[in-house]
Amino acid sequence: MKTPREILLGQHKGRLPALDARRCAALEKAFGPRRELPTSAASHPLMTAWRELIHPYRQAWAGLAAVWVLLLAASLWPGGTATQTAAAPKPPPHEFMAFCQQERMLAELLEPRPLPISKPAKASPPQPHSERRDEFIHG
Amino acid sequence: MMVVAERKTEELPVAAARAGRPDAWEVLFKRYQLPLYAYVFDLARDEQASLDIVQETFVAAVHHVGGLQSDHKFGSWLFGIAHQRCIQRWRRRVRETEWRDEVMAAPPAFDPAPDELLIEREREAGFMRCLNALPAPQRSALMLHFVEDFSLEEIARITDTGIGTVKSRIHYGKKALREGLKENMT
Repeated sequence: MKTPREILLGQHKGRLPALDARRCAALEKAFGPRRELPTSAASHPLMTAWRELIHPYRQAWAGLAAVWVLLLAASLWPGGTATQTAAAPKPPPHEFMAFCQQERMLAELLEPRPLPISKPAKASPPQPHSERRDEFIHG
Repeated sequence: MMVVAERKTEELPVAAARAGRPDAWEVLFKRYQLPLYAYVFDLARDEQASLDIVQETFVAAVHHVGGLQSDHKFGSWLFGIAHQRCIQRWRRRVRETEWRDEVMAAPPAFDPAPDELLIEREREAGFMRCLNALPAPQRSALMLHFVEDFSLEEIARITDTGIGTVKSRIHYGKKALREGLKENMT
């Protein structure tokens, strides 16, 4: 069931092409000959990315940016973590040497060693399986 | 399927149009062209004259947008311009011919679109017959009420009458329409 609005407008929808032409004529009359809009700028990939990715979620992006700024500020602050690590006392030389040695040993242990190449077995006469038997034969 | 967007829920670029941007005017005119034409045609009863009035209304709107008091009243303001244009034209015509009497006496019936189903066509034609049978002031008020869902205050401003008059026109117009449709059904 159509609404009165739909019925009333439906009576005239055949006039849409004429109305489009009149609209263009009115705009030309009011603003002069129509100039093309700078579509190249609007369709630029950066503009598209801005329209589709950033602009709809600008609050989320702003929040993320704020978090990054805070992190950056915290790391650059004089009492921050970076300087704290830098200012930490150096270990004594003997500890450092021990640590290096341990590290070297660990590297040796973990280092994949070349597997011994198995040599083909030498051709030798068959040996007796039991000495008792040998004794028995020779005895 | 209707091509005209529903009103009240939409955001229109009135501020951009005020700033003189042709693309904003294009959007606004595209939105209002069909409802405006329907209203103007109801008053003028002539296709070419109605198209002329719509075009003149658009041009006048661009030139006089400074007179628009608030952005959300753009629709009623535009219809008001069209209404004034219709009256100006009508007065000019009355001076020349007896056109007005002809129009008021025998309003021509609309021909519904040929691709509509018969039952739909009959119902719509019945609705249009009943609407066309109403006195012009009632019909105008009902058109504005139906087509753009304007408030009583807005219709009063467009038609340059009092709110009480508009209220009574809509009330009696709807009543007559209901009775006419009931008669058509039986």
